[in-house]
Amino acid sequence: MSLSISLTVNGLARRIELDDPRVTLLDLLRERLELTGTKKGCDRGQCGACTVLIDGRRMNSCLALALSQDGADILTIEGLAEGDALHPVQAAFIAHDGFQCGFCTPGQIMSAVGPDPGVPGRGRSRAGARRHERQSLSLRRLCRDHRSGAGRPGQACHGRAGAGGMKMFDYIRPATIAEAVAAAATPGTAYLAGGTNLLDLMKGGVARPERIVDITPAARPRPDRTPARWRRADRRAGAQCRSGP
Amino acid sequence: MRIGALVRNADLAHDRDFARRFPAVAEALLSGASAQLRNAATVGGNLLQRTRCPYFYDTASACNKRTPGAGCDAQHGETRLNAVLGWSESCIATNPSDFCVPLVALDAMVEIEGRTGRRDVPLESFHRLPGDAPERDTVLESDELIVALRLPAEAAGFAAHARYLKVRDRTSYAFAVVSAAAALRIEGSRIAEARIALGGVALKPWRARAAEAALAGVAPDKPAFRRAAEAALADAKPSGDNAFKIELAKRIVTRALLLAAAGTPERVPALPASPFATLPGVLHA
Repeated sequence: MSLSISLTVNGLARRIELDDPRVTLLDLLRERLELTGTKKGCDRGQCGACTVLIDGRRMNSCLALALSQDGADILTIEGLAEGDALHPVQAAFIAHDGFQCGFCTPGQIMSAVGPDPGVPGRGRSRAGARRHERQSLSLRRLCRDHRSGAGRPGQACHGRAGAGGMKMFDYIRPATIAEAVAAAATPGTAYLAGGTNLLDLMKGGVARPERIVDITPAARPRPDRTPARWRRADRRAGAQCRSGP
Repeated sequence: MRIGALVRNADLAHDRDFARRFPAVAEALLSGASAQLRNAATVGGNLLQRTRCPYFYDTASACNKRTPGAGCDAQHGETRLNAVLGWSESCIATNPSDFCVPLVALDAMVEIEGRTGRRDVPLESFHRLPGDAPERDTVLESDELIVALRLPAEAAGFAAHARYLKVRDRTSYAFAVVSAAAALRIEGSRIAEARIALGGVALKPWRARAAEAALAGVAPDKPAFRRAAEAALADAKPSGDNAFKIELAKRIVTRALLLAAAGTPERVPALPASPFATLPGVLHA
């Protein structure tokens, strides 16, 4: 399949051609999109220095394949301030001198900013999440406006390899459960879902799949953009949905 | 209740209806990993996560699970966190899942789809003990896909007395040294039915049926809970320098049962599954 993805990064729509399926979101951001505010600490999902918001949720960008993020909305530390006006969490870090060496600070801030689903209190209530979403939207609009001169929406760029110790694999994104199951019949195939265990094992050379069948939730089209055949498959698989008793 | 395999751990744990009906499962989910990982990790993936035995991760070490027939360097290495139940000479690793522990206690069912159709497997028989083929963690065939997890209606009957308790080397973001899920159905002053499972002690989430049987029809008090804990660990033996885990597991089962008997808290505690949580009237269980 084509290694081409569309991403919105800090409000800017990007079309990205990858030359290697192993590129993580972290390496794409840092090495190709030159957004080096997101840090590479352990590169194995343990330290959180690489935290970004993917569709509004804090996640480790080191344990996410860039390919799985097709269609996702990414917010990094660079997209948080409104021009010179810092996000309140950024301002609080400065006001309270919340640093030691500062390397982890972008990850800490993105983690503090990212709302958890349904958790009340400290700005993380549903209302807080909605506020955050509105704020993010306005931030994104501002970013887009701010960068409209320099930004080049729609321009293709080419992701360099960032193998991170992973063996090369064929990448398959199935459209249905039947397709996924058929693709996995070939020996040496692994399903990729959340990736938090498998990508770690692949980086350590413990898992060495020949091909990846990507069923990551982020890799699945979101309901509002989902063709009818996918919605049926989703219901059957229960992907990102839950039915009653 | 049917839960899609790609539901993310955070979404499930924070679903109010789910947490109200299966509070120990929500508590177990929130005691695992970090917020970032829970936002990415899925229900199906959790069932398939590999052991955290350091010899499995270290490609310079011999590991029968990684390379069948290679040997097991864990046997004469650091064995503090290894198994005390169900282990074999070929593998002494443990299953790291928190989520699976209350699930196995509540009779969860795994829905699997393969090329030849769909089948259902009880979670209790989904994970394999190592025997002499430790390279196979589960009964899943290579092309099969977990599509959903089901909890039977009666599992919600334990909601008023259900807890998950997890001892770890630090209070958050660590795998269990030993953990336990305890769920009780109390009628009048007697236990009508008990469900108990252990984590961190074997290569699968460990259902303690003998302990459950020991509690049927008895009063929910500490001596009864300790007897149940003894029954749960009756077959345990150290796989190395980890005899402490057997006594620790007995105490964790006892305390999880005491916490469950005291009643499920209204919301998941700020430190989910923490052994430092206070228990009304009991300082040291």
